[in-house]
Amino acid sequence: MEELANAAPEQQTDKVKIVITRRRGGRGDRVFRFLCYVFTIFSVIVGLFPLYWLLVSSTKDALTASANPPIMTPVLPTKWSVGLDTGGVADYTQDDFEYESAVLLWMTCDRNIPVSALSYSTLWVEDGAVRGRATLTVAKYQSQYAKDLFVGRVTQRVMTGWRDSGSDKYGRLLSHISFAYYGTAQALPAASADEKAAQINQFYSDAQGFSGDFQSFETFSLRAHVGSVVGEKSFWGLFDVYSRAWNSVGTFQHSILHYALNSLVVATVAALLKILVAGGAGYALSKLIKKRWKNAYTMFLIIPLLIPGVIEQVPLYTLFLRMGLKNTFTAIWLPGLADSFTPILFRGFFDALPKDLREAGKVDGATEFGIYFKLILPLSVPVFVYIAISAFVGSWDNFMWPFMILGADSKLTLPLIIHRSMAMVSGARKDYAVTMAISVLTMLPLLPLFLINQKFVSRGLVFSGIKG
Amino acid sequence: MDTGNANTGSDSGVTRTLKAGRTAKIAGETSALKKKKRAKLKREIRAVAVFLAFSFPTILGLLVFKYGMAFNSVIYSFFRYSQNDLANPPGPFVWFENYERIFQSPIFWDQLKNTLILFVFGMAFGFFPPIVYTIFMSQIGRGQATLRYLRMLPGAIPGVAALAVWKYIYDSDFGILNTVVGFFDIPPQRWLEDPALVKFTLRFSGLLGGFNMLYLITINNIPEEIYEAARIDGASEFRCVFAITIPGMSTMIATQFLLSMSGALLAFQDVLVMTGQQGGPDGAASTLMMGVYNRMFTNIDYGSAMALAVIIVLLTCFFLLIRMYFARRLDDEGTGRRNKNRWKS
Repeated sequence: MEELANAAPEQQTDKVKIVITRRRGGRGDRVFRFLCYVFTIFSVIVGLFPLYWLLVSSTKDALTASANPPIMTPVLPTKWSVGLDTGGVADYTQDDFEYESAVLLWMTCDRNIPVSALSYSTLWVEDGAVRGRATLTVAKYQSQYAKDLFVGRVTQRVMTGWRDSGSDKYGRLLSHISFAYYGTAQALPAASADEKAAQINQFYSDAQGFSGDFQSFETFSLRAHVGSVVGEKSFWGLFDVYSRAWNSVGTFQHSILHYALNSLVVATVAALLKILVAGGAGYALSKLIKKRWKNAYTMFLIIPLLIPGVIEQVPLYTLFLRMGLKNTFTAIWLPGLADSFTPILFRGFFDALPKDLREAGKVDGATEFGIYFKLILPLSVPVFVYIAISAFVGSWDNFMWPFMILGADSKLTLPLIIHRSMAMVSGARKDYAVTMAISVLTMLPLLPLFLINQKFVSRGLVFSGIKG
Repeated sequence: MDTGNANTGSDSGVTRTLKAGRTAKIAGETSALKKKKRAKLKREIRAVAVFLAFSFPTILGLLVFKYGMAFNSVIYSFFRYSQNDLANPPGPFVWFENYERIFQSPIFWDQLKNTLILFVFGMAFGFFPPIVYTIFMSQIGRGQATLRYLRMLPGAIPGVAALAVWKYIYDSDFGILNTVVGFFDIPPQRWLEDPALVKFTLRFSGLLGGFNMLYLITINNIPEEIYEAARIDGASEFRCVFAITIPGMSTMIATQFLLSMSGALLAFQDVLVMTGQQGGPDGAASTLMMGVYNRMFTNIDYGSAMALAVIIVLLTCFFLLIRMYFARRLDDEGTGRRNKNRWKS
């Protein structure tokens, strides 16, 4: 203030500015600003945590997903190879290897764990060299598969019976195992007896973690003996759960691709319908309606926004039930027509367009449709893109109405699949990893759209009319 | 209008001659006028037709799926409409039996209570924190855009997926929340399975999520000159927040409050996904919407489901009226500046 008083009158404006900057840099203000930074960064980190947790959890397997305390960072899963050592065994053929691999891969685990959660393959080891490899290719839950393939629990004795009688069940067992044979034998990494024993112990303890009644290899009568177990950390193993989610989701009848296509169809048509219908309605509300009807019509549009949607839910459901539209996408698209929010949003945009545009079009003899499609549309591409993306994202995420109206397995959309996969998570071994993987797969296509739309919003392209 | 008055007027002789003269005049120009009128009518009809062509899907959709269905709901709520009546709805007329049954069932009152408690928790965890976050963020100069982007990023998680993540976080056996509270020497809780905790748990996640872009837009719309003026008067940044930013947001906050209030009565999706169809342990988190759903799909009693829906709508209207009443009283009591365009000078 002293400065101000001493300053010559003609310099006063400059001095005021100096004072302002001084005030801005005041000590209390600096502390306040610093606290703002700290708090905002903290809230951002905390807010990002669910996203981080979603991504990390989607790389876990059944064991790491159900670890307590939870594992905070992705852990490279171990791919186990169980060596069937045939050194000194006479006449060990490929058939023998296939049979004994099938026994180990199919019979060791309790039924209720996902097969690929404990993925191990068997190696045909002869004199320290690998001659073949067998891997189970089932991605579904073993319980479901076992139900498909056999009735009841299969023991080695039952399986041997099938093989000896030439039953096709044995063939089906083998058909889910991929066999690879190496022309030139590959050397197995050399390990001391102690190391081998330690690895086998580690494998058993892991296996017990997956399955309480994991049967050790010694309980089966095999000609070859389990000489070594080799564990390898595998980076691509992080995405095993995705392949599990991708191929089939537990007890669902279709691959995730099927449900993703469902979602895509539902969301695309919904978005196109929205810009087609609501764009026209917004244009009509902005430019075509007579003055004297404008208020009444706006009321007609606004009233449904004020009434909670629950009021129409039950009659809508019974209506579609009676029309035979349950389990059809039509039942999802039709109510989308009854949207008055988007036309009002469009109106705000069209109102801002210069009036001369329509006059010019009229002078040139264009019809209203011509004006709309040839003059207005090209100018309104951003808002149309924004609305289409919003509608697409909204429809992709939509859960409640599809949950009520879509019950058939072949018609489910991705959010419904997330919900179902979560509902199946129960019991002692909750397999959240698959749910998380499906969630990530559901989110991925949305991410770019979401970011584009946020850009629209933060540039004020769309909500320019909204004032505090 | 003119002629109508003339017929009942006292000096009818004059008007009659006037009228006669006018009709003669009109008769003289009849064909031209008619043509003009017809052309005008044609133009009018054309305009209406064009308007309808552009907006008939919306009008039809609103009429059928909003107005029609709402009307349908109200009417059918007086009928005993069950699965057997689907072929020829709506079954026998039972006056207020559906409403009576709802009001007499203790489940309804539990659900109402649960919904209101969820609403209160939702306010505490989900409504006010975003406002605080936004105010803090608006005070940041450099790096605001990046932080805002990061803050919005979790919004890309689809709704059900976010609920799935939270369910995993809350899991009583493997959930990370139990590990976190373990740092503070709190024993592990059964977050979603404990009737005493489940409502808190359901709304707690709102604390981390929820960033509302509209608040930031609102704050950015407050003219910078006002801040400058306040700074000249010697106000600190902290003071500016309370004296300028928050009052400037008040209308938006009120609007959002209204929205979240009417939304709170419809709480359903998160409860269903996180706690299942029965609404958690002993229905401790069962909401009114859950009641509608269960009446629809478990009891297959559409009449009473519609009655409950009508009750929910009436409740919403009731809350709206309360809020409007308080808003008006606030206005009357001289704070009166709100709702006016205060930044206009």
